Amino acid sequence: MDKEEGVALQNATVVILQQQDSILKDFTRTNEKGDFHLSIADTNDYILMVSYPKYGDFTQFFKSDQDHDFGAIPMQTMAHLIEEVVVTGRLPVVIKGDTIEYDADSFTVEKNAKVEDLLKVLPGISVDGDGKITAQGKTVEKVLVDGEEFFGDDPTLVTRNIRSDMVDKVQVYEKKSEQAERTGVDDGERIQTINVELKEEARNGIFGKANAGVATDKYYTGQAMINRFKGSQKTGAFLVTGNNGTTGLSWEDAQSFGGNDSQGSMVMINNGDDFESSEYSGSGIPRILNTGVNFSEKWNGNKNKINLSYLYGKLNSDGESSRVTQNNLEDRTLVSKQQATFDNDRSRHKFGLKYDLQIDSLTSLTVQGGANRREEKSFSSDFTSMTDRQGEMLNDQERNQTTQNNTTNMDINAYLTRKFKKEGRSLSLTARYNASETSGNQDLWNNVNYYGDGNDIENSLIDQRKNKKNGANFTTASFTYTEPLHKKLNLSIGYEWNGQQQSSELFSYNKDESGNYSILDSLYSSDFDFSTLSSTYNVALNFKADKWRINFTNRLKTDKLQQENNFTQEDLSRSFLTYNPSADLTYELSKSSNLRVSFRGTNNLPSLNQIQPLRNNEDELNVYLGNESLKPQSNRNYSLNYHKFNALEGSYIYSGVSFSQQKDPFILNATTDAQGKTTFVWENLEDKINNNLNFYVGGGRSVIRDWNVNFDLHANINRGDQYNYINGSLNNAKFTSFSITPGLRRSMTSGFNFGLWITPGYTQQKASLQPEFDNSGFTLRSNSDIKYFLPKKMEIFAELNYVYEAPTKTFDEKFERILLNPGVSKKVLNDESLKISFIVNDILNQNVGFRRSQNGNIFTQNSYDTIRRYYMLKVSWDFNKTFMQ
Amino acid sequence: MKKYLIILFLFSYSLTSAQYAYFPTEGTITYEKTFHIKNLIKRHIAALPDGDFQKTMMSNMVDKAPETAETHQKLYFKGQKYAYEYIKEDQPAAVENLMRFGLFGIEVNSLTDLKESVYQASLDFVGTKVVLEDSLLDVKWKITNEYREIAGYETRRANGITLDSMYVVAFYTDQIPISAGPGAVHGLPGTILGLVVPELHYNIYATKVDMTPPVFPKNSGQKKKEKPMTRKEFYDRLKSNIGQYIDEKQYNLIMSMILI
Repeated sequence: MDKEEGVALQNATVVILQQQDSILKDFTRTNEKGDFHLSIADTNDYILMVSYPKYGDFTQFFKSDQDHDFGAIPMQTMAHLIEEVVVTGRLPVVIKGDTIEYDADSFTVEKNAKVEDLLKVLPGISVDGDGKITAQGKTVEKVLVDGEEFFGDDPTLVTRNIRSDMVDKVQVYEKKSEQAERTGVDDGERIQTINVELKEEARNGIFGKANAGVATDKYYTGQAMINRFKGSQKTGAFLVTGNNGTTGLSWEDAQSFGGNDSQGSMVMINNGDDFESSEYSGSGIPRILNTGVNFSEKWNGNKNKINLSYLYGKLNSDGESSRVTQNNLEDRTLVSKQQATFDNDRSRHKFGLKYDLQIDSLTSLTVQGGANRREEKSFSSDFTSMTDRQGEMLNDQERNQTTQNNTTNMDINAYLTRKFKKEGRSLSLTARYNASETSGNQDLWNNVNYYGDGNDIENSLIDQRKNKKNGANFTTASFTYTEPLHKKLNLSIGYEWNGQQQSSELFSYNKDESGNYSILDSLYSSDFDFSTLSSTYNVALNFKADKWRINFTNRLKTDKLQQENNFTQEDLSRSFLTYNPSADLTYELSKSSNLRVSFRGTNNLPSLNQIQPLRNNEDELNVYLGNESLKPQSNRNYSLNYHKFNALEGSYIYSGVSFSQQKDPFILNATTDAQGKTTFVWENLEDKINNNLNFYVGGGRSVIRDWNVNFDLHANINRGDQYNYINGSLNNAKFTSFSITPGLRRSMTSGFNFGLWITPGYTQQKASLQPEFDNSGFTLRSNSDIKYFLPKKMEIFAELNYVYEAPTKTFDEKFERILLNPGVSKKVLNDESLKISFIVNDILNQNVGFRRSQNGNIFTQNSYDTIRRYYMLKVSWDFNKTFMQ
Repeated sequence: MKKYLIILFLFSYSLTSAQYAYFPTEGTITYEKTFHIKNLIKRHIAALPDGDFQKTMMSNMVDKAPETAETHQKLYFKGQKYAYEYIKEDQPAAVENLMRFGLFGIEVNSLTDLKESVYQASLDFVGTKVVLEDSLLDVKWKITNEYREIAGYETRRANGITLDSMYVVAFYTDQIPISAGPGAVHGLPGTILGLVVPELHYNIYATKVDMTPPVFPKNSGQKKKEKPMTRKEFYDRLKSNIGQYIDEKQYNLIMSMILI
C-alpha cells in the first residue's frame, strides 16, 4: 500500500529471491485487493521483494519453514527517497574530448592479472569487493569491449575473465542513451561507461610445420613451412624438396602460408605450372626444389596492405616413354610406335607484389605486379617406326633434340574502384601491361627413311642449329560504369581496349664444310611481326528481385590482326567484327534451392598461326600449312542447372544439362601420303554443326545417421561429334560416354573412417571412315581410402586407386592398374604435435604412367616411367608458439 | 518435502484498491535488434580450429563487413500468449550477403503460451523450413539493483543463464505484467524490453510500446506441413549432418543463435 495515501496497490510485483545468491525463485502480482500468495516447495533463506512503478522497493528476509503473513507492506514513492551521491575525483591520464583514456601498459599489474586488477590500479577508478566499479565518482553502468556491449555490464563475469595484458587502452566516458544514439535526438541522459580496447594483435608468435621422410630406392621428401606474425606484420617461408612427386605445398598448407589471412597469404594461382601444383603430373621421375618467402604488412588502420613474395623452383625429370598412335585413313590404317628418352631441367625465379590502398571509404586501389625468369634445358631422343595394319614398313625416324630457352616476363596491373553515395552506382578502371621475351636455341638432328614400293628407300636428313627469339607485349585498359536505373535494375556499360605486339624470329642454319652451323636455311627461317588491336563494347542489364536474378549482356568486339613478314616484306591483315550476347537467369526456389538457365554466344577467331604458320621442320612427318580464307567459328552454349540442399537432413541433389553448338568450326584437314607423311591445314567445316551434349545428376544424404555414414551418387552422360578431313574425305567421330559413381563416406575424428567410391563407365568412340576400328569399351575406376583410429594416438590407413580399361578394337589389350598405398602413424608428445609415419607407396608395384586419347581419327596411347613402390619413414612436426608482448 | 504458504494482505483503510500505474494486458512492442557483425565473425574465427579453411574466408569477411546491422521485430501480447515476429525489411547489400551465409540473422518467429507452457517456433534454416515445439526455455535469473529506462519504461536489470552456460542480460519492466520477452528468453516478473546476449554479439531494445489490441500474425509459430521437433531433436538432427563438418564450438554457437 502507498505509505502516504494508505491505498492498496494492484499489480505490484512480488518476487522471491534466494538469499545466498539472489537467484529468482518465483514471482507473482498483487490482485485488485492488493493481496498475493505464493507457495515454496523447500526450506531455505529467502528475500521477499515488492516493487511498484515509481515506488522504492520493499525487501524483507524470511525463512520458508512456515507460513508467513507479511501483513501490510508500506511502499514509498521514489520522490521520498534521498538520492545518494558519491563524489570522488582524481586526475585523469589522457583526456580526449569527453573521454578519459588510460594506457594499459603504463600500469603495472601481476602476470596473468585480469582486467579487474588493472581497473583497481587506474586512478579515478575503484572496484569494491562485489566487483562494482566506480569511475570518476559515478557507478559504471556499462563495460564495453572494443566499443561493444560485450559480456553485458556484469563486472564479476566480465572483468575477471579478460587478461589485462590483452588490453591496449581503458576509456571512461559518458555514453549517450541508446535512444539518443538511435534517434540522434539528445535527451541529455548519460551513462557512465568503461570501454576496454583490446590490443590489435594480442597475439604475437610463430607457427608452422616441418616434415622429412626417407625411403627405399633413394626416394626422399622434405618440407618445411614457417610463419611469423608480429602485430599486423606477417612473414613466411617454405621449402619443398624431394623426388617422390610432391612438388609444392598442399592446398591446405598454401592456404595458411603467410599467416592464415587471404590478404597476407601468397597469391597462389595454379596456372598449370609444375612449380605451383602440389603433385607432379608429368612423366618420369622428378627431382624438385621449391622455396619461397612471403611478407605482408597492414598499416594505417588496414587502409594500406602490401604483400611481397619471392619464389625459386628447380625441377629435373628424366625417363623413358613410349607411344602407339593409330591413324585411321579412309582406306588404310597407319600404326606408328615411338620409343623416347628424355631429360628436362627447369628453373624459375619469381617475384610478386600486391598493394591495396583504401583511399577513402568509397575508393580503393589495387596494384599487382610480378616478374619472373625461367630457364629450360631439355634433351630428347626418339625413334619412331610407322607401318600399315599389315605390318608393311612405311617409314622410320630417328631424332635427337637439344633445346635451351630463357624466358623473362613482367606484368603490372592496377585496378581502381569507386563507389558512390547512391547504392549500386560504381565505376571501375583497370590498366595492365605485360611484356615477355624468350630466346633460345635448338640443335636438331633428324633422319627419316621413307620406304616406297619394293626396296626403294628415300632418305631425308636434317642437321640444323636453330636460333629463336620471341617477344610479346600487350596493353589493356578498360572502364566499367554501373548505374542503378531502379532499385532492382542496374545498367552497366563498359569499354576495353587491347593492343598486342609480337615478334618472332627463327633462324635455321645448316652445317658448312668445316662443321660449323653457318649456312642459313631460308625455307625454315622466318622473321615475323604481329600486331592485334581490339576494342570491346559491353552493355549489360542486371535485374535483381526477391527470387529472380537476370543478367543480359551484349558484347561487340572489333579485332584487327596484322602480320608482317620481315624477310619478304609481305603483309597480311584481317579484321573481324563479332557480336556475342549472353543471358543468365536464376530463379531462387528457396534459400537452398535454385534453378539457373543461361545462354552464351562466343566466337573463336582464327589465329595468325592458323592463317599462316611459321614453317618448321622439327617434326618432318607432321607438317602444318596455312589457310588464308579462314573465318571465325561461332559457338553457342545453352545450359540449365538445378540444385537443392536440405540442411536439416544433410541431403542435397543437383542436376544439369548443357548443350553446345559450333558453327563453322575449325577442323583439321590431314593429307597423308603413301609414305606416311601427313600435311595439316585448318579449315572451316561448312554446312555442318558440331554438337555436344552433357547431362549430369547427383545427390547425397546421410544413410546411417547414428554412425555418421553418408551416401552420394553422381552420374554423367556425354555425347558429341568431332569432324575432320582425311585425304579429302570427311570423317565424323562420334563419342558417347556414360558413368555413374556411387560412394559411401564416414569422416569423423575417431573410429573407422572411410571413403569408398566406384565408377563404372562405358565409352563409345566411333569414326565414320573406319567403323570397324572403333574404340568403344568398358571402364572401371575407384578412388577410395580407409582410416582407423587405434588407441595410443595411432592410426592405420590405406588409399586405393584402381583403373580398368577393357580391350577395344583399336587397342586389343586391356589395361588394369591397382595402386595401393597403406601406412601407419603415431602421434607423440603431449600436444600431439609430432607425428611419425610409415608409408608404403604402391605396395603392389603396379604403377605405370599411362594415357589413352582420341583426336579425330587418331588414337594415341602413351606410357611412361613413373614412381613405383617404395617404403618411407616420415616424421612431421607442427609447431605453434605465441608470445605475449 | 513440506509445503508452506505465504500469504499477504495489503490493506487499505478505505478497503478499496488503487490503480496508480497502468498495467497493459495486451499490446504490441517494437524491438530493434543490433548485431555487432564484425565481432560475431571474429568469434566464429576464434571458435575454429587452427588451419580450418573457413578461417581465411572469414578473416576476409571481417574487413568487408559493416560494424553493425539492425533488424526489427514485433511482439504481440494478449493475456498469457505472445507472438514474436521479424519484420521484413531491406538490408544494405553487404549485410544481405552476410545474412545469406547463414551465420547470423536467422529469423525465428515464435508463439509462446505461458498458461500451457508451450513454445512454438518456425524458422528458415538455410532454405529448409524448421518447426520447433517444446516447453518454455529454462532461464535461471538473478535480479540486480540496476535500472535503465527503455522506450519510456523503467526497467530493472536481471542476469540470466540459459542453455547450460549462455549468459544473457535482460531489462524487464514490471509495468507490463506478462512474463514475455523477445525470442525464447522469458521468465521475469514483467516483460523484457532490453536483451543483451554478449556471446552472440547482439542486443535487442524496445523502441515503441503500443497498447492497442494486437492482431496476431497468421501461422505464427506453426506450419502444418512440417513435423515439429523439440530443441533437443533439432540439435541432434543437425549435429549428425552439419556437425560432422564443423567444430563443436562453432556448432554450438550457431545453435544458440536459433534457440535463444
